[in-house]
Amino acid sequence: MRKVVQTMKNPNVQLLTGNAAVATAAKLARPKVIPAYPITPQTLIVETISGMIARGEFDCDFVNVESEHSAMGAAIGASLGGVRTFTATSAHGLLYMGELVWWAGVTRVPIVMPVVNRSLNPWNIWPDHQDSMTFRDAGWIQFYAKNNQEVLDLTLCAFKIAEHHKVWMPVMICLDGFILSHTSAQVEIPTQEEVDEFLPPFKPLAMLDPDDPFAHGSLTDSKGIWEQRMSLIDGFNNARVIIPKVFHEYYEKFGRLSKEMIEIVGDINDANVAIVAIGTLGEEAEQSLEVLNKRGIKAVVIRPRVIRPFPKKELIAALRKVPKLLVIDRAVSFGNAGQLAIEIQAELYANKVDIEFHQIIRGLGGMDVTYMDIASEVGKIM
Amino acid sequence: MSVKIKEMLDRPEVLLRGNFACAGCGLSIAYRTAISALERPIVVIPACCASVIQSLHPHVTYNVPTLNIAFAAHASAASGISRAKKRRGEKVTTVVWSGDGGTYDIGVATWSGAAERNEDILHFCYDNGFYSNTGAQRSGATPRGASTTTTPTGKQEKRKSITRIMAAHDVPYIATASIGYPRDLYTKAKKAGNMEGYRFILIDAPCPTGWNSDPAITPELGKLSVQTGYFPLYEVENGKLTFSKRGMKYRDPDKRLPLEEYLDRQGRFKKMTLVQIEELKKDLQFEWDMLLRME
Repeated sequence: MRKVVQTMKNPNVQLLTGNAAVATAAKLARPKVIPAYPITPQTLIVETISGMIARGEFDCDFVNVESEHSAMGAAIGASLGGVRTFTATSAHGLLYMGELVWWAGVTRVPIVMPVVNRSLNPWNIWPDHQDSMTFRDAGWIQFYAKNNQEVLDLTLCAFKIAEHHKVWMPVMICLDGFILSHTSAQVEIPTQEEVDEFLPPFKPLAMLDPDDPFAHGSLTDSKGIWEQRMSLIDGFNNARVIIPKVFHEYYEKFGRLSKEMIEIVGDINDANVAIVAIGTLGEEAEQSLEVLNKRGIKAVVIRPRVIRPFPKKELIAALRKVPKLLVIDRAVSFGNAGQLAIEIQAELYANKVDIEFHQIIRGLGGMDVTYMDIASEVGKIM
Repeated sequence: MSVKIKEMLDRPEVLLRGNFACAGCGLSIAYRTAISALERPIVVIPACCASVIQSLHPHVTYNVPTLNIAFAAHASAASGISRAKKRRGEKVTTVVWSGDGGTYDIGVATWSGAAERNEDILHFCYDNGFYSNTGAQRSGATPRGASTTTTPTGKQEKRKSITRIMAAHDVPYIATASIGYPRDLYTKAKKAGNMEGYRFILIDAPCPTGWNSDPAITPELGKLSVQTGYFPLYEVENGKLTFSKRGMKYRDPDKRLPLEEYLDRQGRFKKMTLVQIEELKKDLQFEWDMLLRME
């Protein structure tokens, strides 16, 4: 990733919180309807967007719904009504809209929704990935951002990927609560003209239209469900091709992201251990490389920025090059292990990768995980 | 002014042959009558009999664009459609078509939010007083004394007054109608269709399967509910209630037919004791008294 530095020559670099980066990306993407309900730590997204609309900077209907359940209901209606649609939530909000998150996923409604990651109950407003991980099977594409710049970049790409007619499914952009949502960092903001060139206007693949009536989501028998599920699986296979293409297009235009669904930091060809982590834990792991190097440990960070579709091929290709692996999860599949660890283990076995596998769970409920913590965990397995 | 019957007959058919409705289904009469009165409707249907009778995918017997949505998401989904179509500059009538379970119970929050925002939605509730789709369980609309599969000895509580709750939202238009009086229903649907903002029409729609009544007398039950004072017909605009021409005379209890004439034709009221019938009559008169205050 290109280093972003604010200079007199580059006035487009601003200090933005993760939530402001989301709101800025949303505004640049020109959605026409945003139904949303406030929840900590997502609130600043809806407040910032409301302010932009009130000041006349952003031409959009903000629907102040009475719950997240209605936020997703209205988002489904608006998207099928034929306009670009955006919403945002967190934790319990995601659970409360859960029924309709599935509705949008399995009936393929191309909504873009950042999820500001927050722990689930009892009351704890700080970050972990339990909320979005609970929905990794809901038919949504899932991105995990490592910093505020990536939040903006992935949100812009999300619209283009969701609305691609070969994909046509919703996208969740996951960003760690507070660590990103409430922390200011330098973000380079593309101009409206640049974004308009990158992201064409919304072209509905299917729309509720009195001149061409059809029924969406109607009673379906097992044969029909089989067809729909197979089509959804195909859609995800298409997404495996389209996501890297869109990322690459974004890279060509803006110099950020790469065509890979995973990011590798460090020299993979000379590493004796790999650390796999997502979101801000991935960026924190990058910071541990120098410390580890001083201790004589050559480590590399492999960070999937896409979790659905799961970037199997890229991960396996990278993991074949290292003898040892540490997976750090920020969520648990209770009764088993961290979700990332479970999925990677399955791929390692299926692809007969000879690697020493280690897993840990860290950072639940906002527990701080520093680069020194990560370095010490790596040290334990060396 | 009621419309001419010829106008109703000349409207396009909105419910096609091959649908799964039971014999004597009140909902299908309500749907054909009300939806055919509208210009360019887009209909949102939550979980209810209407989501089942449309036939099995890929077959559809609704001749209008239809969004099937989760039980408690009708008015929110309709809000999204209505906003999107305005943004696109398309003139449509966004409709919620929900049963009483979706309107009285699980969907209250979604319609209350939409009504408070005064979304441009026409909400119909076809009311058969229980969950017909799932096998006749009690709802907030079930009248006292009625047997359902979850109140086998008869419901102990009064039926909820959904129109008065809706009236507390001060929406532009509220009406009640019965499938026993299709011209009145059509006229009200057409009138509401030409208005803006959140509009609500409650339709008395008998369900012979769940009520254990003769399918052949569905329209007659629709009339009897009005004539016995069980289901008053009225409109509420700007906070003022006007009894409809068809139901006006039943303001006077002496002009009503005995309630037993309505109850006796339905198996669901068979087990009611005389005491329970008296309590039900009190419930109904209480509702009339409350409505008369709004006149």
